[in-house]
Amino acid sequence: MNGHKVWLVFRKDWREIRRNRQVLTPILVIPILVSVLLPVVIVSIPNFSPSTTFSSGNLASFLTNLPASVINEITGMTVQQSTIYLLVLYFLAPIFLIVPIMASSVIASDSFAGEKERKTIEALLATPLTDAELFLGKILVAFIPAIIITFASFAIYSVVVDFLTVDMFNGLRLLPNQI
Amino acid sequence: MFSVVAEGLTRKFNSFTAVQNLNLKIEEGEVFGLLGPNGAGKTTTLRMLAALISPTEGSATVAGFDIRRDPSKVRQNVGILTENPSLYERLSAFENMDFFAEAYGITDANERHLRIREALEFLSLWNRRNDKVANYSKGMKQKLAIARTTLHKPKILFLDEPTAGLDPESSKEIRDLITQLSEREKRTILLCTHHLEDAEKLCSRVLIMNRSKALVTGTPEELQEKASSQTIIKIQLKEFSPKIIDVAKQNSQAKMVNANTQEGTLLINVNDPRVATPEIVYDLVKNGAKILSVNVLRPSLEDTYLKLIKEEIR
Repeated sequence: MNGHKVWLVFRKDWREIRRNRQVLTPILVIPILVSVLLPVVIVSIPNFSPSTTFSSGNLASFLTNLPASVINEITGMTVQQSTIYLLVLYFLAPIFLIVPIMASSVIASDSFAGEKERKTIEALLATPLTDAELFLGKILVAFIPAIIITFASFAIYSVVVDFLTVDMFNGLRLLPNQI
Repeated sequence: MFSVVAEGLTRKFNSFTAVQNLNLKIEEGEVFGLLGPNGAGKTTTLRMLAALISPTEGSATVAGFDIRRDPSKVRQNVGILTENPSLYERLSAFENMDFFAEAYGITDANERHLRIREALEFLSLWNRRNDKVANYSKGMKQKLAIARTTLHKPKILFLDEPTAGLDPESSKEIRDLITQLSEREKRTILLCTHHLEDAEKLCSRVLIMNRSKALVTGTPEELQEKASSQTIIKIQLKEFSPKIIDVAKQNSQAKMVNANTQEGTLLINVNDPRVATPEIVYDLVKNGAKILSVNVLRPSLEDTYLKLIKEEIR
């Protein structure tokens, strides 16, 4: 197997995908929704009706079932602060695990099945490129952009969350946090 | 030296036999035609020879490499035009060519640029090299796809229906291109087609196949002669007289004479026009006939083809 050939397949596929709006739209729009719209909605809910949504009664059983380390983190916070803290750090953040799965599956299906659908696969298979080189190149084109998009969208999410919560937490930035 | 040798090549798809026991020898520099109706097995044969699929039985060597043992060497040494142009529509013509050139192992970027420029200029596509292939016409795509087969300078080209679905002008351009590739660059070309016109104009030898089997191989002329043993000579006369018809009928070479008095033509069936034509013409002129033209009417390759296919069906 030749690394240059793998890279060649990657470059070709990436060029095609970059110009394909049907692939770009889902892999860009959904991360933006998750990283901008979702935190805005979550953080603004208490501003509309703080008493009903986040009363300690609603959350009491939920809060007592949290792991001890998490309870430690929220000790001393008001009910509103602790709710936002938990939602933003422990409930929304894992949604970003979906982003790479979704992005890579959209790209991979276009890159693999798209060749067959657009009938370009014959010429590709007729080249001396080996199956391994083609496969690896196409795996990389699904992997690399998906990972970049995931990290980038989480960075945007961190900035948006900090911006929205910095006053509520008296200048404390929630993200990035220590693990 | 043979460029392509196939022995007992057979390909089955489950219970369906697409190609059965095909034997084939193509000499270096030859333009060889595979003729046959749709579904005859032409494309399957080509795909096997280009090492895209492996044969169920039998073997073949292409450019000296065995298609079973050395498929990657075979791919490296042939250029193939598949049924579809197989171009990336979202990429420009140049990007397409650049990708394939590198895939065929031309690692030097300057070298690639040079070869692509040469190929595209030859086809007058260089000015539109940065256009996306999606905006190309069908004929241009086909030309580009043929250009792609030549980038790595293979000795052997496999072309699957290069003129299918093209208008007469584009078809002619493609035919000229194939002639040039064969004559100027001495490439061996294997052509699949059901356009008999293409085969007649381009091929030095043809193989007619139907229902997965090879029916007959030979030069287009040989096959034409096979279709009917007798040839017709058409003689256009300035004036007609009963005497001339008698002279023609009495000539020993004439098997049958049909006179069309209105048109002033004589249609004479003969066995061998090379012997019969001068003798008959001499005889007629000696007896005072004024001849305007003499034509030898051969059955076309189309007649041969249709006759063979029909015989097969019966």
